[in-house]
Amino acid sequence: MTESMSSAWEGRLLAIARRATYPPTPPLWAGVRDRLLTARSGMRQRRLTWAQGLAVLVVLLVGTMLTVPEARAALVRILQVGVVRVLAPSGTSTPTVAPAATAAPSPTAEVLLPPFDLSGRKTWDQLRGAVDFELRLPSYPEDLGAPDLAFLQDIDGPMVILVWRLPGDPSRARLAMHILGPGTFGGKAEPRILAATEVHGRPALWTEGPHSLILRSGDYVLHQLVTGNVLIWEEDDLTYRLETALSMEEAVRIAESLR
Amino acid sequence: MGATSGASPESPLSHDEAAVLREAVGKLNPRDQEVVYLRFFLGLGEGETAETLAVPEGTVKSRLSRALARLRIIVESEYPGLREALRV
Repeated sequence: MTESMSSAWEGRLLAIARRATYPPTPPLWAGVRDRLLTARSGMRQRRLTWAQGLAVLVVLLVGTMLTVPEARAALVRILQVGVVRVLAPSGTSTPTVAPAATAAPSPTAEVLLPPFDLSGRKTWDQLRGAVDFELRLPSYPEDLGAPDLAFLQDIDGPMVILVWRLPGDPSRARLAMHILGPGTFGGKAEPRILAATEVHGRPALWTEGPHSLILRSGDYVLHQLVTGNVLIWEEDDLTYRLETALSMEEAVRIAESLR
Repeated sequence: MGATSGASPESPLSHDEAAVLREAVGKLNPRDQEVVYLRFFLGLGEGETAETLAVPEGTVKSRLSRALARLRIIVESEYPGLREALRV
């Protein structure tokens, strides 16, 4: 109990907040996104290190956390891949290389929350000309091709978001991939499944289950519900975050197919 | 969170109130939203919140204090139902 949480009013506030069902209606705070994408950060940048700072991403795997008070008190340990930091309660079993316990869906399984409405939309050609690093795309699945949607969000540094639509249903996404530069990330996890794996022999993290994705840069923050599984890996000082409904094995295969 | 963290039997809390609270929190500026979200909705401790935000714990305390003051004003002026739910 801290001073800041000590008042009865704050206690009631906490009690109400604890009853927040999750997920309610994603994205959680869509309004914040607009500010994230339109406002400029003039705030402190000490923790942002890429081109004066890149959006800070926090992966929060909520799972049952909001309904299990004990989980709140758990100490956390930090697992980091690239600029993505996942905080896992100490009670969470140590990640292993063991595959996640999921059935392998078809290669066209969709991401449930497509980030179709983000700002900074570019054509693929525009995007390639706008960033100073090599954009590599998955060559697997073979029919994937170039992304259907591409976004470049430049708050204090570039962040690329690529989306492949689900064949036959363009309102849904098949894959979504973030490409992020060095920076500082933080978060907390109550992962339903959190597994360590490898991409090209380098450590990678695999998470499953609904979680809250927070992109942060200075004063600006985006909270978005993510329902897909996520593979996080790092290559050439870039951190990749692949959101998919596929199995971990398929996601790793896609990650290792970047060309 | 101490004795104040639970719902009292005579005033059951609802998921609707949580939704209203989330709406009210959404009227805070992003930085305030973030710290309130982490501390209250996700239940992070101050140390965890500080680590998550990459700021000192003192910053978390001061930021949270200001955020809650602003939230209280919003609730008092715009959310009478929530104001009553928060009344103790």
